[in-house]
Parts: sequence; structure tokens; C-alpha cells
Amino acid sequence: MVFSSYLFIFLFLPFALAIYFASPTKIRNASLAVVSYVFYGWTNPWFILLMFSTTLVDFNSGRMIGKHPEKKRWFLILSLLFDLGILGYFKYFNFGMENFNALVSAMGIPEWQYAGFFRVLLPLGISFYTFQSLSYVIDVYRGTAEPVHSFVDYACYVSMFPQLVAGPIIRFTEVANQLQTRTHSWEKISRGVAFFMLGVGKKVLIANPCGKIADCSFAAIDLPLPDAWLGMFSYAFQIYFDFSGYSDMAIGLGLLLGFTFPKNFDSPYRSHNIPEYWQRWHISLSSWLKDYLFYSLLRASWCQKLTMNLSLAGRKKLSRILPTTIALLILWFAVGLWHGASWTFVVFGLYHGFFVILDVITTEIKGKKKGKDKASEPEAVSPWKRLLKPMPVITTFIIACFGHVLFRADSLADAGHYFASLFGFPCKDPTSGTVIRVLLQNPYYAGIMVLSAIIIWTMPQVWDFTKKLTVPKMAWCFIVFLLAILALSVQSYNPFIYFIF
Amino acid sequence: MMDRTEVFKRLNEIFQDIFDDEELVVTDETCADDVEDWDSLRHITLISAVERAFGFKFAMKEVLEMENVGAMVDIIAERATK
Repeated sequence: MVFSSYLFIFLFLPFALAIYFASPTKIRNASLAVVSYVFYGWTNPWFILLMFSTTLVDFNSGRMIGKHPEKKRWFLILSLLFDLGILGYFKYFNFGMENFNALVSAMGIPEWQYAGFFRVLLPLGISFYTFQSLSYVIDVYRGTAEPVHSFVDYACYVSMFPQLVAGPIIRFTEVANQLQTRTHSWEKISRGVAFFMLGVGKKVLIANPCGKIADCSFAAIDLPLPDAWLGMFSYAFQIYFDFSGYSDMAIGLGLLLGFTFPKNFDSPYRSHNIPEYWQRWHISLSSWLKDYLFYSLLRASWCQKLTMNLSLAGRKKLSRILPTTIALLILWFAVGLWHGASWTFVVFGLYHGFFVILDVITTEIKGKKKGKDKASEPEAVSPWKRLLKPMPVITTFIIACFGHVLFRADSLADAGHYFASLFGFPCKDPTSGTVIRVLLQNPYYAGIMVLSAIIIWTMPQVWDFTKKLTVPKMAWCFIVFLLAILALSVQSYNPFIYFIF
Repeated sequence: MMDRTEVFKRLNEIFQDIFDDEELVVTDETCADDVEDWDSLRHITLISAVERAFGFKFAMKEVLEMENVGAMVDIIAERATK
């Protein structure tokens, strides 16, 4: 069940809200957990068992860590093995078997191939709720969170339908107090409604049409150069409005239920470099990986020993660069693999990792370019400098777009073909342009592309727009929502890209 | 328990080394916003250097929740072994 559907908006959501608000305050977490399980089990009820078992194991691990701090490492390992084991099996089994078969075939021992292995069905949003639940156990292990005593509260935290299947990945510490007591005010409700309506608008009115253009481009093997670029940009717009629209809906639904979730997107296409881009794109994932994986790698004994040995050998700069680079490579490999069980995603992760590592190395060698007191320096007024000012943003956007090609392509070979088209070869039939034809024949699509660019680079974020709501602002939100609802009646194309993760 | 003045003296040298700034002087109130380059990555490098110099390990909770140099000095003064 996707948020931008009649089923969700006109049936599930009113029922869920009615049940929630009709429940006495004491059992609201329980009723929210129940409706969330109904939401999750809508497509495949069996997946409920998976989420419930993860919840049960992590809840008990957290409690045991609190009760037996001397054995806390073992309970953490239990949780990690269980959660990552389930995630690994359901998400990566097919990928592992395919690679195993390819490997033994390449080694000349095809009889070792495991023929006829069954395809494992990927449960919805498993990467999101697994990371969410794991963050709690790790926080309790590290002492940054207290063990929760109520199983209902914990089940509510893991299963909460607003962010269950496509994030944001909420940390337990972010909602621990809100699970105990939260307020419901008209201010929160109106902001929540505005967030939700604009999120639906982003998804239905912008992401879906952009997706059609992108699908058209990526389905073609040979594209003329302008079509390839337009197709790439339309996918960049689709993925941004799709995912940030979903996050807006999630934040809005959270507010309706009295929860305040953190920001998940902060105008990422306005970033000046790739590290900044990842501080602004899917913030809950990048900060999760930074706090739980990257810090753990840097604090691991092998990393510390490597730093110390290089430092003792007088290689001060290398002692900072090398361990960090190794940790970053592991981190970005994980980022890629988290997004999907395919080599295109792994290369996507490492591609972004390359730019982050490059930034670390150049910063270490050249010294930091961003001074803390830079603001006090006089502004450069040279016309050249003014002209070149948007260059870092444009460059970063294009680098991110190339990454999206890897993300969108069905295989590395397809990605290679697409990159070839982007650079003008090898296009066998340059008149076979499809994207430009679609744009020329349907001004609607061309208009959506222009509107997307205007929203991305000039308009305020939904987060800021909804901070102080006025009647005209609410009217705008309603208009956008009504248009989206009307558009939904004629759209057959309504996928959520991040649902598959 | 180690003397705070002694901790500050040694800690200042570590800060100067990590941030490549011989003029850097830290006080109780110094925090990440006050020092150029003190980002999350450099924070972990700093923590590792402090641990090596003073012969103890910070807990992850301390690494993530230390608000300023004063808080770091308090922990070092209490737990330093060398």
C-alpha cells in the first residue's frame, strides 16, 4: 500500500486515525502498533512475523544488556547476527547465489553451480526497520539510550507505519520521550496535513511524470546525446521528488500522530560537494551509517593500530589518511549494498565514496578550505568569481546525476551504454530520440521538468514553508493536493523507488 | 586523579598536533565550533590520540556526548593511567 493511493488516503488513513484518536491515551501506542502491523501485512501477511521476530529479539537484547552489563557484548552480537542474518538472507540470498554460480562457472567448475535455487521474496522496507531496530540495541550497548521497559512501546517504535517502509530511519533516542508522552495540537495537525499534502503533490505531480520520461530514456539502448542528458536529469528529479515526497508524507503523518521526526532531506541538489550532498540527502541513512558503522570502524583496534604504527613511523598525514580511507571504502561499499543486492548499487556506493575519499585526502594534504572565520572575510566581487559561483553546485549535481545512472541502470553493462550515450557515442541512430520527442509533443512534461528545476533551486523547502502556516499557504497545499488526487485518477504509474529497499 | 592543569598542558599539545596549529590554546569552554577543522572525522582522530597519550579508553557514549574540552579534561583527569 503506497501513501499516494486512494486506498491509503481514503480508506486506511481515516480508519487508522479514527482508531488512534478514539483510543484512550494509555493504549494509543498499542493501537498505533496494531494499525501499523495491518499496514505492513497488507501485501503479504507473512512478513509480519519477520518484523515481529526482529522486534522481539531486539527488545529482549536491550533489556538483557541493561540487566547484565558484563555480558552486553554477547547480547549485542545476538541482535546483530539475528537482524543482519534475516536482512542478509531475504535481501542478498539471490544475489549471493547468482554470484556464486557465476564464479564457479568462471573457474571452470560449472558442476558446482547450485541450479534451481528458489528466489527469495524481499519483504517491504526490511532495510529500514532493521536499521531502526538495530540502532536501539547499539545505543543501549553504548550507553547512549536506556533500555525500554514496555514491549508495546518498542513494537510501536519499530512498526510505526508513517516511516516503516521507506524511512526516515528514526533512532529510538529521537522518539523515546515522545513514546512516553506526546502532545496533539492543531498546530502540529495542520503542519502534518500540509506536509502530507505537499508530499503527495511532489510524488504524483512531479516524480511520476519525470519517471515516465526517465523510463523512456533508460529503456532505450542507444540515445542521442541531448536525450541521454534529459533522461538523466528527469531521473534525478524523479528520485528526489519521489523520495523526499515520501519523507514529507512520513513526517506529516508522524505529526498527525503527535510525533516530530527529524529532517531527511535538506535541498541536496544545492550542495557544493559530494560530502555535503550526503549530509543533505537521506540524512537519516547517512547519519546512521556514520554513527554506527564508520565510528565503529575507526574505533576498531586494527584501525587504531594502523594509525599508531604510521604515526610512530613519522608518517603523520598518512596515519590520518589511510585508516580513514579504508573505513570509508567499507562504509561506501555498505551504502551501495544497503540500497540493493546488485553490482550496480555497489558501484554506485563506491563511486560516491571515491569523491568523499578524494575530499578527505585533498583536505588533509592542502589543509582545510572552510575557515571558521571565513564569514568575516570581505565578499569577493569580481565578475568572474560571481559567474563561477554556481559552478560547485552544478558540478556536484552532475556528479550526483552520474551516480543516479548507476542507481537506475539494470546492469553495469546498461549503465556503460548510458554513459556512452551521455558522451555522444556510440549512437547508431541519432534520429531515434525519444525524450526530446516526448517533451516537444507534450508541453506538460516539459513544463514539469522546468517546474522541478525551479522548485529544487529556488523555492523554500517544505520543512521551512510549513513552519509558520497561514491561510493562503494552506490553500496552496490544498490546491496541490486536489490536483494530485485528480492526477491519481488518470495515472497508472505510481511506484515508490525506495519501497524496494 | 591527575591534576587538571597538567591534563590541559598535555592536551593542548595534542590539539596543536592534530589540528596542525601551534597557536591553538584550548580552555574548558572550547568546543567543536571554536576550532577550525574539528569535524566528526577529526574528533575520532583526536579521541584516539588522547587515548594513546593518557593510556585509557573513552566509552562510545563519552565520545558522542562530550560537549566541550572541559568535559574531556574531567574524564582524562579521572581515568588517565600515564
